[in-house]
Amino acid sequence: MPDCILALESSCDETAAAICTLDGTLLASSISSQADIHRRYGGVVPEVASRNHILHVRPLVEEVLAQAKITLDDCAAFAATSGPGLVSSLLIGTSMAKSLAVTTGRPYLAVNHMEGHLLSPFIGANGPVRPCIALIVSGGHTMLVKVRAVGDYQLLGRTRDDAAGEAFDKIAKMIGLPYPGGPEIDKSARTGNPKAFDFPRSFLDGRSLEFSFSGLKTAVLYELPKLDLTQPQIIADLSASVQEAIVEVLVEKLLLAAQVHQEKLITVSGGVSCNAHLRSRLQKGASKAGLELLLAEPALCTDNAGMIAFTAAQRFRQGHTSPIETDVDPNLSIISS
Amino acid sequence: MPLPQTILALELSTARGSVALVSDGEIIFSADFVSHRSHNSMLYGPLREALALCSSRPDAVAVGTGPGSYTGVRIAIAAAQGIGLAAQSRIIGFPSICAAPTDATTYNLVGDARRGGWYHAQVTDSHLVGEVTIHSEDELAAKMDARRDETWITFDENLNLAGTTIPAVCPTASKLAEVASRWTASDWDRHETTEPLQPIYLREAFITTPKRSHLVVTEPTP
Repeated sequence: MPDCILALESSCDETAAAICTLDGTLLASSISSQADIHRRYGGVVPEVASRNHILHVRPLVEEVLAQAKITLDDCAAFAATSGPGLVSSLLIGTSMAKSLAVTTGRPYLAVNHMEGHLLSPFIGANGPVRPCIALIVSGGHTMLVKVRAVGDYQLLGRTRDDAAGEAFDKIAKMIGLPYPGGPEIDKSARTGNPKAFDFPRSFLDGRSLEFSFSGLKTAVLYELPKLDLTQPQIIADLSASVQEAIVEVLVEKLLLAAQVHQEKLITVSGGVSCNAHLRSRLQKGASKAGLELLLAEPALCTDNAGMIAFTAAQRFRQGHTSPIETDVDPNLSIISS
Repeated sequence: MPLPQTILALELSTARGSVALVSDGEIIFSADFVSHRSHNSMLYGPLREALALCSSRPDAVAVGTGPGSYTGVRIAIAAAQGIGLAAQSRIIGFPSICAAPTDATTYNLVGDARRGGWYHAQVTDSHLVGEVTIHSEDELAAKMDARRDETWITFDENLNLAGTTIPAVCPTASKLAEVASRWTASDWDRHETTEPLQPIYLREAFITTPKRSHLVVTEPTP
């Protein structure tokens, strides 16, 4: 009896495939990263991303089948990220997954990329998805979501302007660090003084669960002409101070959301959750507040197909499948999924 | 390797997408649909019907590789890869320009190559003669004038070049399947490559770079 799900992720610049069992155990996951290709342009170029996705999608499927030591006959369903993301990139993963489904006569599941991130802290957590307050923090999104059950989500707040990862990337670019800037700031901050610069923390009206990082970006911008950016220590201090300003807001608002909604479990996922300082501050904050914290494994923080396969497995077990006509949606909302 | 008897063809390089199935030289299924942005949602219904007629086991899948809509061609290639993997079928890419529905044995095909350029290809007996080339409008007009007795067609709607409206046609999966069904073993070997299948790209990806960052602050002059 087929008991696996094969999933594809191609929403941006990573082509990825993964296989998990219907109970959510990840058997294989592989990513073909284009980061080195896009680094020279200072950001993701959609057409270049699509040209690379089409070259890698089939080899990745063959690779995860070999890794998991299964065949397509062992797959109960096929899934792919259907949004949000770059249309021309999303189309490649979904087309491959749909054709596998149609040819084998198995169901297809269109998966929301953000739901994949949302549920990723539960991968390998040895238990079902539980109610929690989730922070998803990446280059494209910063949002707080109340999770009641799989598929039952309430948006509590999101960024009004830049996502946290976007702020990291843009500020990194301003101070001369390479793309992608988030990991570079994380690295540079290790030798910096987080109190060297008193950058603003935007808490909005105090009890708000919304975010705003554009003021921080502007504050850094106005600081730069006064500084000698050729000095490595200045870069390190700037990185540490920027990181501190972003991390403090993220942690405080997550803890506030848990308090307001009286949840005992908090989860964090998305590319920015790889940030070492954020992980450390979250652990301290959760411990102090008496909350349980689930962090996505670092390998599952950035875009990957493991989280898509896991989410598809959760949905499939609930009896969900998607019509084969389901199109991609670059602006797909997590709340409608 | 025996010659494929059942060939599934996918052609999505223009707004008119199509699917066809040929078995023992006869077209036993064909369907088309018009979509400027939704090939991904419209392809799979007809595809499911075609696969049902061959028990989901076509011997080969032929894909039109353009030139044309890169997105459409990539949808077709990704779909072909999935079918090929699941059905263990051979996959071949074939220039869509060789699948134009015309009675002419030799024809010239022109189209918009964007960024002020035009592409030209010559096809004889469903084979591309030489390469697809890019020209300015004046160069192409001169070429058309020099070969005014030949057949000129385009896949673009309402294409007017050098004062002449070029007759528009659309490549079809039926034609693609029909051409592939006539191939000899050496034709199959020539079209089946070990290289990953991709669209015929007329140019490098167009990448815009900012002239200067707007995120620049300078100290005011005292």
